[in-house]
Amino acid sequence: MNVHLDPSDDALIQAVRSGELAAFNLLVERYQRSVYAVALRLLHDRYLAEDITQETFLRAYTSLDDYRGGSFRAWLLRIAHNRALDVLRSMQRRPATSLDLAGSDFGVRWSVEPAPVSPVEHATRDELWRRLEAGLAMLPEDQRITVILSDVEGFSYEEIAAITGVSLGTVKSRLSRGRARLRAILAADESSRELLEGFLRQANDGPSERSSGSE
Amino acid sequence: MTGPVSAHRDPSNGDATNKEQQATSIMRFTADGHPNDQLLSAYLAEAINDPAVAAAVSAHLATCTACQEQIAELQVITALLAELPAPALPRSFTLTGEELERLRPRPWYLRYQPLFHWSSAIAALLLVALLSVDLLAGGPAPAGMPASPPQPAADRQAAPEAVEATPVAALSAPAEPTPGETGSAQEIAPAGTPVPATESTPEAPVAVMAAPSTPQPTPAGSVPKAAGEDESSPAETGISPLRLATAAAGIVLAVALALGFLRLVSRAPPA
Repeated sequence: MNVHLDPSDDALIQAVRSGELAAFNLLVERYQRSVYAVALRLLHDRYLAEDITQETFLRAYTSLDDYRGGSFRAWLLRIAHNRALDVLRSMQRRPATSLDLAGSDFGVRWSVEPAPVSPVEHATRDELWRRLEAGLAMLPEDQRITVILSDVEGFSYEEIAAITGVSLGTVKSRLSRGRARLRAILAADESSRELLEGFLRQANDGPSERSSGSE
Repeated sequence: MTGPVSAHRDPSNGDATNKEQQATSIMRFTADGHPNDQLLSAYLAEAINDPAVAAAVSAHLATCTACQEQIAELQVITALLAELPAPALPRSFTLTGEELERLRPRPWYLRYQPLFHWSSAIAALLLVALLSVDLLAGGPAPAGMPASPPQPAADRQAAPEAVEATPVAALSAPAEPTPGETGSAQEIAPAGTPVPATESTPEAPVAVMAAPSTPQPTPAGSVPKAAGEDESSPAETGISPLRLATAAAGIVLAVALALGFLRLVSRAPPA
């Protein structure tokens, strides 16, 4: 899928604006994983996440002229975030649709990178990922979105502030509280704690280097 | 920038600051001298506002292995999060060719294009209708002046011309372009007009020839109008709202035309 890494976002947007409408689909292919992943982790519902992803790209396309430079991915996620919040709010108004956290095992179906690590470490990591997904789901909504945008999606504090519409200080405090809570959630569970400690030891002992920030 | 505010978002900056202060109060050193979870995490996120506190955490970390381990755990967690596999896509979200065509992106003034089309068409019709009514009801204009009823917008534009063209018109022109101030118009017009009405009638055709590009030569227009007022002042009070409506239609038309012009000067969307 890394076929079209060449043209920059701005070049593609320019192409769409000058009539090459299909260029927009290259942007969709580039960012649909990000948008869908954030929507799914916020809502824990595949169908809602699918709807929000589709709406986000339709909306982005029709109002492409409102995009004024900066990170296009952040702009997309601002649209997705606002839409997801609307949905969350309407769900909270109708409590019948409860957020079941059974979604915590959703889709670890493909790995982003080939793991250059020992099978044991690989298994440990898969298990930790699963538990981290579950832990993320337990965070309050505002901390969850901040941790996801920062640590999973790799946005800067400034971009997160723009996406979520809060101050830089609020982003930092939400992030640090969210991470502390996530660690506390893992530490509270005996097996999770052991996994984490085991992973730490492996990471310290083994010279295996893990490339971070894959996106 | 900010979207609609939910219970979980900060409704204002003031509230955000409160939250930050609240967070700061939660971050602290425990009784046995260790920074608590919150404080360590804030240290990692560079979210400690007080440099003295940050320095204290840093100093403590240099000696305390337990806290070093906690920091390491936090770091491992963030590193693991960075590699968290994205969930499998249920489908591709690319738009179909039909969608791309139908929803093609437009700047805001093009998104309202149908509205402008209709409003300009209606305004144009209205303008013509109002001008005809004005012409018929506005009292007998001198024979040579069929196009006499001026639209106020044109009056205002042409007012300087009027000053140059005839000193007489200069008298009546200021009274004319403000249909709202009928009081002053009535005061000035009767005083100024009886003399100019006769004098300026020969002047007016000259103005028509002098400025053929302007469809409604105003010196000519304003003066006979004033004459009309003089003849039938009761009818004059009925004309004012008509004039206002004409002006409104003219303004709508002007706005619609301006936006059409905006479209012309902006990049032409490919057919």
